[in-house]
Amino acid sequence: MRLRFLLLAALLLAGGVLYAQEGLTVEVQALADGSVEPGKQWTFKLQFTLPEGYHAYHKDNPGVGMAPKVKFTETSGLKLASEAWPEPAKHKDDNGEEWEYSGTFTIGYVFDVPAGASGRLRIAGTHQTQFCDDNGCFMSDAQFSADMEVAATEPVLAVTVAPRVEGKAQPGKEYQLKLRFTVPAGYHAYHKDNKGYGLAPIVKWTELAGFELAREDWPKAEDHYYEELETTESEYSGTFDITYVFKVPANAKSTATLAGTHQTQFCNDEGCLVSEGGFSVDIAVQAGAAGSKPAIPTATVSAAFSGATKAGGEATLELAIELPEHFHTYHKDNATVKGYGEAPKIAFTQTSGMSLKSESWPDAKKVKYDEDWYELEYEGKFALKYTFQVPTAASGKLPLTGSYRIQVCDDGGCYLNDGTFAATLEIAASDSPLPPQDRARKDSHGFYLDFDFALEQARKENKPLLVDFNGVNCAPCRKMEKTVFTRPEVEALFKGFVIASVQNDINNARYNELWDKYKPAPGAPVPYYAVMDHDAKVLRGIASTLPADKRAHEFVAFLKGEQPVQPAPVAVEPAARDVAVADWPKGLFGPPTDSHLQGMAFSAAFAGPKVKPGSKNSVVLTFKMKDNGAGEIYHAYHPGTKAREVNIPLTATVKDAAGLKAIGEWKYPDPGEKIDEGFGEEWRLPHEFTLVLDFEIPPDLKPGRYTVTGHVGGQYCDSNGCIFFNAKSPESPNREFGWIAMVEVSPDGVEGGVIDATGTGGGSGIEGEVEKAGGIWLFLFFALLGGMITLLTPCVLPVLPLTVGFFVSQSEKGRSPLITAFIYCTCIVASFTLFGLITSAAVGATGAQKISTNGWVNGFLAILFLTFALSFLGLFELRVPAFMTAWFTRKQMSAQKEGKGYAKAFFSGSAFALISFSCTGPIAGAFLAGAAGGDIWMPTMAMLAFSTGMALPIFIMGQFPSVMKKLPKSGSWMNALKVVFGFVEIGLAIMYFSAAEQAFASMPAAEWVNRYVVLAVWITVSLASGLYLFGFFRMPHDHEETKQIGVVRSLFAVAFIAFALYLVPGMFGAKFGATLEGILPLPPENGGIQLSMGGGGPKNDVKALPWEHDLARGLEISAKVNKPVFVDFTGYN
Amino acid sequence: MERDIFPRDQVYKQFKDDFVLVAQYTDSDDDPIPAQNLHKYTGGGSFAVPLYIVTDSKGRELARLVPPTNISSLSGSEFASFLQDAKQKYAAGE
Repeated sequence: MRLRFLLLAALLLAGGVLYAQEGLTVEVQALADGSVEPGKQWTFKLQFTLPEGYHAYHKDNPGVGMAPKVKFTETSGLKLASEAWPEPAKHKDDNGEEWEYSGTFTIGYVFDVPAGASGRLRIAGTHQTQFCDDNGCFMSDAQFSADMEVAATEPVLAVTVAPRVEGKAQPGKEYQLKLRFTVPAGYHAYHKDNKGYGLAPIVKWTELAGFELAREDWPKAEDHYYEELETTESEYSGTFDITYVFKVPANAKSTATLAGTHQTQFCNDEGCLVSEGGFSVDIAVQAGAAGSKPAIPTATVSAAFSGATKAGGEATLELAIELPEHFHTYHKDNATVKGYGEAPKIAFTQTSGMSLKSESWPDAKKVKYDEDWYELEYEGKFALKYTFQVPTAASGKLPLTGSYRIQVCDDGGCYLNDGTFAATLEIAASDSPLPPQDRARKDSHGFYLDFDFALEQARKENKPLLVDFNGVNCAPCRKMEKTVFTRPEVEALFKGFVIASVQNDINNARYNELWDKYKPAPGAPVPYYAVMDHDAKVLRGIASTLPADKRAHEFVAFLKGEQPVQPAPVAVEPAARDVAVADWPKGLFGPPTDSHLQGMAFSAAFAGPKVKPGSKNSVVLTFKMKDNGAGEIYHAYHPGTKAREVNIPLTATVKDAAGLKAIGEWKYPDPGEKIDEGFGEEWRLPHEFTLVLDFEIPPDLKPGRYTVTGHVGGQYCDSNGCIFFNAKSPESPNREFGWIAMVEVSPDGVEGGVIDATGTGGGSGIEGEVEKAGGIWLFLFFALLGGMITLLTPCVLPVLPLTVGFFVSQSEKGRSPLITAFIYCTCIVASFTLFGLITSAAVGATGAQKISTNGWVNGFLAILFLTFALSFLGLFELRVPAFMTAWFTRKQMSAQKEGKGYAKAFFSGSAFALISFSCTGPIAGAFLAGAAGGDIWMPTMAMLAFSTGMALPIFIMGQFPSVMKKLPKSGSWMNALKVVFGFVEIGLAIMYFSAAEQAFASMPAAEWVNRYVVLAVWITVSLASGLYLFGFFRMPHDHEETKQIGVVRSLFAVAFIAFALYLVPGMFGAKFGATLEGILPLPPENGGIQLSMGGGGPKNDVKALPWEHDLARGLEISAKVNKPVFVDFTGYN
Repeated sequence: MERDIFPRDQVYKQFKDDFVLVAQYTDSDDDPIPAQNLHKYTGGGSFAVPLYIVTDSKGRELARLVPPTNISSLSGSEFASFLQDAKQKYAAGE
C-alpha cells in the first residue's frame, strides 16, 4: 500500500497536474485579523481545511509529499518577511519520513507594513495544495483575498508617500508609477521648478529591478505670491501625485519590486518641516511582449574567478547556474545514459590569452523515466568550474567573456536560455611581463618575451633589435609565423637580430605601454614588425597589409633593409580550349562561380575541335553533379519535370554563335529519377549528363578559330535545399553562368563532330537510342498486326472472297494477278499512308510534344474514340460519305466497261479502303494517335505499317487463292471482335479524356478523370470483354447465341479477365511496369482514393510530407505555390 | 506533438494540401540558421520550443501557436483550427 502511494506521489511530482476530483478540495480561508500598523509587522493567516482522511505536507518535508504553494499576487505595498508553519505530524516508516498536516492548519505570513501605509489594503494570491490519502494524491488550487484597514495611528505631522500601482508592466514598454504625496492640512510642499524658497521633495530610487527611469511628471502647482518675501512659490497642498515613467526591461521577471526614499519639505506660514520615509511596491509584469510571448523560465548565470591570480599560474572560473524552480538541466555526459536532455553549452568569447585547461561538472541526479531511459539532471543551484592557464606575461585585469545556452526543462517542455557572462581576473601588477627569474625566457620562435631584457641583450650582442608586435588572438600573426618565419632565408636573417615579442592583447601593462608608444598609427593592426637601434628607436617598420603567404619577399626585404621587390607576376597559362578569365567575352555572364561549382563540375566544348567548313559540329556541355558532403549527390532538373512550380529546370542558351548556325534544339538525356514529393513528378537529370546542340559550319565561313558562347541557368538541389543560378542579371549572386566553346574551322579539319544523342554519361546515350529505336519497331510491328486483325472485322472479312474473286477473274482475262494485286494493295497502302502524311505534316508544324499535350487534340481524340466505340458496340454504323464511295464505284464500273483492268484495280483498292473505314478507321485511328506523340514521321510510318498489315494478306491471297480457305469462317466471332474492339476503344477514349483535362487544367495530373477513374474504366471494359467473350451477355448485333466457346475465344476471355484483375491493385495506389505507367495518368495530387492495403505506407505519415529545412526555400516555394508557410520551430532534443 | 497531433486527419490533411512545411531544428550544432530564424520571430532572448508560426510568402507572421506548458492538453481540433485561422489570414492578405 505504502509503495503504491509513493509511486503515485512520485508521479505527481513528475509534473502531471492532477486536478482534484469534484467536491474534493482543500478549503483555504484568508484571515486578515489583528491590527495593521504602519511601520510594523503584521501577520496574514491562511487557514487550510483538508478533506477528511487526507493530509498535506510541511514545507520542509523530507519525504516525497509536496507542501502547499502560495503565491501572493497583490500585497498593497506590504513586503513578505517570513512564514510561520505549524508543527507537522512526523510519520516515519521503512520508506522514509513524511511531515504531514491533517484536518485544519494555519500558515502565518508575516508582512512588513510600510511606514506610509494607510487606508484600505488588500492581500490576494493563489494556492496550489497537494493532498493525499494512502491511495493517491490530488491537487487543489484556488485564489484567496482579504481586505483590511490600516489602523488609524496617532496623527503625526508628516508627509506620507504611497505608490499607486495601476495595471501590469509590459516588458520592453513604458510603465507609469504614481507616488501619492499627502501633505498635512495647512501645509504645502513645492514643485520641482519652484522659483521661490521652498524645496521640492527629493525622491531617491533604491531598488529598480532593472527598470529605467525615463522621466517624471509633476502635476501643476499653485503659484502664491508672498509680498513680504517678494517671491512666488509653486505649492502643493493636500494630496498630489508625481508620475514616474519607467522603461521596463525586455527580460523583466514576473514581479518587479521598486523601492525608494523621499525627503519632503513641507511648510506653513510659520515655518518648514522635513519628512523622511521609504516606500516599496511590487509591480506585476505581464508575461511576454504584447501578450504573445510565453513567460520563459530563465536560469541565472554568474561567473567569477576564484583561486590563484599569479601570472603563469592557474585560475579557476566558477560559473554558478541557478535554475528556475521545478526546472532542471542536464549533465554533459547525459548522452551516456541515453538521455535526451541537452547539457548547457558554454563558449568563451574572450579569454585574454588564458587557455582552458580543464573543466569540472558536479555530479548530477540520475532520474529514471523508463526502462533504458535515464536523464542526468541538475536542479536548483550548481556550479561548473573551468580551470585556465594564465599567461606568464599576464598582468593587470584580464577580462573573460563567454556565452551560454542552457536548456531548462520541466515535464511540460523545454526552454532554451541564451545569455552571456563576464568575469575579470586580477593579476598583481608588475612592470615586467615576467617574474625576475624568467626575464630571459623565450617563446617557441626564440623571441624574448621581455622587451627590456631583449634590448639589453641587443646592446650586449651588438645586434639590432627586431620587435614582433603581435597578439595572442591574431590569426594573421600565426600565419606569418608558420609560413614566413619558417623560411630558410628568413631564419637565416633572424640570426642577425635580437628579437622580442610584444603581445598587445593580453593586458600586460608594459606591453600595452610599448604598443602605445611604437604602433605606427592609431588603431593600427598587428602584426607590426619594427627594427630598433640600441636606444629603442625605430629604424624601420613594416605593417600588415597583405596575406602573410604573399608577403614573404616584402618581409625579407624589410629584414635586409632593402626596398621590397615586387615578384614578377606569374603568367596564367590558358588551358587548351579554355579562355583565360581576362579574355571573357563582354556581355557574357561570368564563368561558373564557386557556388555553382560546389554542386557540379562543368565543361563546355565542341565535339570536334577542328572541322571543315560546311560540316556539322556539336557543342557538348558536360555536367557532373557532386556530393553534398553528406553522401548525397546534388541533382538538377530535366525540362520535362512535372513539378514545374517548384523545379527550375536546367537550361542552356546560346548567346553568340559566332557565325555558326544552330540546328534544332538542345538535346537532353532521358531523366534519371522521377520522384514525387508532393508537387508532381520531379524529373531529375542523371548524376552525369551532357546537353548537346548541333551547329552547322557555313561552307563560306573563313578558316579560323571561332568562339561560341552561351549561358546555363537553373538550380541544383539536395534534400536540404537548392542553389539557384537562374537570375538573368550578371550582378546577381544567383546569376546564370556563361559557357565558352571554341572550334577551329580549317580545310584540313575533320568532316564533322556531330554526336547523335545526349548521354547520361560515358556513351550510354547510344544505348538509350537503341532502346528507343526498339520501341519504334515494336510499335510498327503492332501497327502491322493491327492491320492484319482489321481484316477479320465484319466490315472486311465478308468482302475478302469478292476481292480475291476479282483477282482471279482478272487473271482469267490474261492480266497478271501479280500486277493487279500489287496495284490494288498499293492503293490501300497509299490511302492510309496519306492520312499518316497529313498527320505528320500537322505534327511537324506544331511539334509532336505540343500535339500530344494539347487539350483540344486530346479532347478530339477522346470523342473520336468514344464515337468509334459506340459504333463498334452497335449503336450506329460509321460510313464514309456516300458521294465518295459512289465516285470510286462509278470509276470502278466505267473502268471495267472500258476494259481497263488495272485502272479498275486502282479504283477497287481505293474503294475498299473507304468502304472498310467503319472498321479500319477506329483501329487505324488508335495507332495514328499513339504515333502522334512521337517523331514527326511516326504517323506516316504507323499508317504504312498498318495498311501493309492489311494489304499483305490480300496480296498473298491474290496470288494463292487457295489460302482463302484457310481463313476462319464468318460467324458470330466477327461481331465479337468488333465488340471487344469497342470496349478497348472506350478504354482509349477515357485515357484521352484524362489527358485533355490535364492539359486544360495545366496540372501534373488530372483531378476528375484521374488515374483511378481511368483504371476503373479499364478494369470494367477488360472484365466486360472477358465476360462477353465467355458468352455471359450479348450485344445488339449478336444474332445468334454463343453455343460453344472456342479455344481461341476462351484464351482471349481469360486474358481480358486476368488483365482486369491485374489492374485492381492500381486502384489502391499500386504502381505498374514502365510500359503501363507510361500510358496511365499520374495519381491526382489531392483526393483520389485514399485506401490503403496492408502493404501500403503508414497512415498520415507526417515525416513523409515534404518538410523543408531551409526557411528561405520554404518562402520561395510559398510564393510559387501560393500557400502559407507553416514553420515548426522544434529541437532534436 | 509531432507524434500525437500532426498525424490527426484534420491536421495532416491541411499540412498536406494547404501549407508549405518548414521544420527548423533550433538546437542543431551544425546549422545556426534555424535558431537565428527563431530569434527573428521571437525578438531574441530566451525562447521556448516547440513554437509554431505561420507566415506569408514574404515571411511575415500571420499566426503563432505557443503550445501550453502541458502539451498533451492541446487537442487536435485546437491545432486544426489554428491552421484554419492562419489560412484565412493568408487568404485575406492576398
